[in-house]
Amino acid sequence: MPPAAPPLYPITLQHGLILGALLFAIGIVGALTKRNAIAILMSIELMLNGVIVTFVAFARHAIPSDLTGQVFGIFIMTVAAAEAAVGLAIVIAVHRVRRTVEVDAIDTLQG
Amino acid sequence: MAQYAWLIPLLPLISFALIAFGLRRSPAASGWVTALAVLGSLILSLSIFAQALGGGCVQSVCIDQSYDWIPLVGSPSLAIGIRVDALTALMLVVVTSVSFLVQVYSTGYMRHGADDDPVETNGYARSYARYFASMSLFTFSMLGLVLANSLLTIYLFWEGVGLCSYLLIGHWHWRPEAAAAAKKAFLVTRLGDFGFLLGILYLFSQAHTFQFDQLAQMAASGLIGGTALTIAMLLIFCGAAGKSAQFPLHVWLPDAMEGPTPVSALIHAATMVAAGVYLMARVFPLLVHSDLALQIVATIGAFTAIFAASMGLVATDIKRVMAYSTISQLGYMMLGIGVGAATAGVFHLFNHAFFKALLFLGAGSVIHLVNSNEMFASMGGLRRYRPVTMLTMWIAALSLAGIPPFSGFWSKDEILAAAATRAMPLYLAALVTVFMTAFYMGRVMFVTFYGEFRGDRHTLEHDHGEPMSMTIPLIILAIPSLFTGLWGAPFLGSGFAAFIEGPGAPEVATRLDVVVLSSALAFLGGLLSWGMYGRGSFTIPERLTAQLSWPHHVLMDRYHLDHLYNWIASRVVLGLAWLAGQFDTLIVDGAVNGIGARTVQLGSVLRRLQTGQVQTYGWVLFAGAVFLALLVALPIVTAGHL
Amino acid sequence: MVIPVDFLVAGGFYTFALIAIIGAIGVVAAERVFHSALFLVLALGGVAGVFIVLGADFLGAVEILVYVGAIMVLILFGIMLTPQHVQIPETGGPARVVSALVVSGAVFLLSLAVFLTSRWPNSTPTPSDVPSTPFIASGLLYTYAFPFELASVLLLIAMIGAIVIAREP
Repeated sequence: MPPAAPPLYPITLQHGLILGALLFAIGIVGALTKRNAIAILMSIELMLNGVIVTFVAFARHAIPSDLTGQVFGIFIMTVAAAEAAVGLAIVIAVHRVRRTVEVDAIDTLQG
Repeated sequence: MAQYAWLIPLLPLISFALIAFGLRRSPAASGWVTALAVLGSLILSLSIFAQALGGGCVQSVCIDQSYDWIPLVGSPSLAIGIRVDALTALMLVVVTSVSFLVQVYSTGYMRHGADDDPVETNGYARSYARYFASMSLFTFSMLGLVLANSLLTIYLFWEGVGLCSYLLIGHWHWRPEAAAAAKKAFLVTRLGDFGFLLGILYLFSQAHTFQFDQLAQMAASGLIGGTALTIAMLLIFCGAAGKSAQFPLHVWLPDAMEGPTPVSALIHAATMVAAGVYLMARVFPLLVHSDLALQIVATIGAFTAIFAASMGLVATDIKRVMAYSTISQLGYMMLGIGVGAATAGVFHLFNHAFFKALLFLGAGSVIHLVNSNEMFASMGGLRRYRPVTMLTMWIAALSLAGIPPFSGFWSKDEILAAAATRAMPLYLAALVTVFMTAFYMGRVMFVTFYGEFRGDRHTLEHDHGEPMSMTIPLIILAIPSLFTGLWGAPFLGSGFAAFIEGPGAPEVATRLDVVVLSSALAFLGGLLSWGMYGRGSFTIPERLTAQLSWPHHVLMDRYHLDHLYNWIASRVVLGLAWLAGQFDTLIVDGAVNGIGARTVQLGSVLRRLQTGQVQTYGWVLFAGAVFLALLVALPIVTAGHL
Repeated sequence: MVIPVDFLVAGGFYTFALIAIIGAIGVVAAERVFHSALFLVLALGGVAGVFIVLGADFLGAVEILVYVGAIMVLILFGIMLTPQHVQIPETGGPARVVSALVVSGAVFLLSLAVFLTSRWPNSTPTPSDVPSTPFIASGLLYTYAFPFELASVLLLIAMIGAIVIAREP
């Protein structure tokens, strides 16, 4: 069997990595600028997705049929789900006490 | 039997713990628990004593055991341990027997120990249980002290008895005089203890051991000696002088009479104040190798004896006379040790413990009756009310005065004989003291028990006799006051010296001239006191006082020494303290406060960093991550590894 | 005419990546949190597409099920339960935006520098048409069985914690 010809339009490892980094960077901007706690949570989900993309890209280019990167992606999703559940619970609890979900207003730890 | 010696101090300790942690609300039980615990110790002590007496100890040391307390690297461990030999066995018996009798006496005396001590509904003074807790603790410490086998161990218990002495002098702490006296006793003895501690440490630095037996061997073989030994001995004597109230550290003992009378009997007459003499007897094998130290001990002893006796001549407080007498007798014992007759000194300690405890308990008996310490103002003619007290006190007084054949005569005579052989001036001072002793004891007895009652008649109307618990100890204590002297009597074989020094002890020197002279002086002193005070009217002493007002004033004011010490304390010491205080406030505190103030200022600047804004923290987090990554990456990039 | 697989892969990747990035920017830029949530759906969908293109078909399916199906519903519930004050701007002031952009740009550029300058060991991609599910299953149930159990414990704890925290006191 002859070796497969090199692809014309290769999607290399770097492509995946750059997409992951972009998502992560955009997530950072959201997490640092949004005033709504729920929006911040969503930005963090974006950052986590950037990380999963990176793992998947590595999985694709690592040893064939060893999909450790994808397994890691599943674990990250698990953690993300747990984080979302607890984070939203905290947001609701804070809202109940402070009547707001604005992070600017929550500065009890100010020195 | 000696292997159970550790039980002896343990029993009073248990009784202390029981009272302190359980029996404070049941005073009756606390008294009897203390007495029973000490009785247990007494029985054990007597059996050890019997063993020692029967020669049951190999070379007169029954047991000498150490326990490594603090192991040290490159140096002998700090060990605490017990040692039982003839001297220990003797002291055990003295301490436990006097302590037991005093505890029994106290169960009666302390029920209504003082007018200002409120009596609870259960019929006991409020401080009753606390009193017995302190007494138990004291007995524990004192027994530990006599059982100690090393200077370190003895020092631990030495401080223990000092603490208990403080607690018990200040037992009626709501009285300003009692609180001040307790403080004074603590501070003055502390002054001596400081020297003691220095001496122990210095000796350790020279000999690398605390153990008495090893130290004695080293001194005997010449490994330690010369100036070093003299310095160490003098420092240790500082401690002994503080505890045994030797000049110039004697000032605390007369004031210590503010404590309850049984306390005075046990601590400030029979046991604790004798600890200094005991200590010097313990280190005597070292002491004999330093002539200078011996001379100083003897001189201070003799001087204290005559000095304290002279103050006893004029004191009007019955307990203070006893206190001066105690100081004076302790001076005798020190004199005995200083002239090389340590056994005689210990023998006098042994006899003195019984008759002086008896004198104090007797004084307590009459004080209990008339509610006052003043002999001239509140007593007189008490022989009709307290005949047993009078009789037993006569025995003790004659013994103290050195009238043959009472116990004090024999031991005092041994000391005098040794002094006459070794140091003539000291012997003369001691002879004068004998005369003074007989005089002031006669004065106490005549003024207190004879003539007419001079106090407030109402105080006697409430007299219902005293409880048996107070009378019986007096009678029991009278027995050793009568007979213990015979144990050391030369014509009966000087059994005491043989017991303490083991077989082959040198013969006790007897000098007939000393015997005759001292007995005659004692009789003369007694006669003189009878002539002045024995006939009911005090015209002769009053006229004498008027004519010799200046010496009388000096004696009454205790040679102005207390004023001198006060002046030193208030001017010199407080002046230095003021300087140190200024240094502390301005420089030390200034530095500390300055550092604190700068820290607060810096903090008030830095606290602005804490915005409380989670997003600021997030920003710093990411910026920090970038910074660290650059920090790691830059060297790699510049090195061209990528 | 047969379209080459590598062309399909490239086209799919770029398309889905663009969708994901547009969605992500929308999440950050939207003025209202509800719009953010809708953009997040878009972004997650794009990411799921990228997964499928890159041969992680199972992960793509899970992404849609878990994120779009579960987490998004949770976030929407959160939005509903916390009344929004529309008059306050959703994004912080310009200083905050600029500083955030600086930091995130620095992170991105640093990553980019690392990605482009490193020599990666193997650039031959695993073929995208190989089913990945059996390998993930064996990975999860054999190699990573213990972390897998731990993940389930984590979920349980998070569930209990969320209930306890959000409950009426």
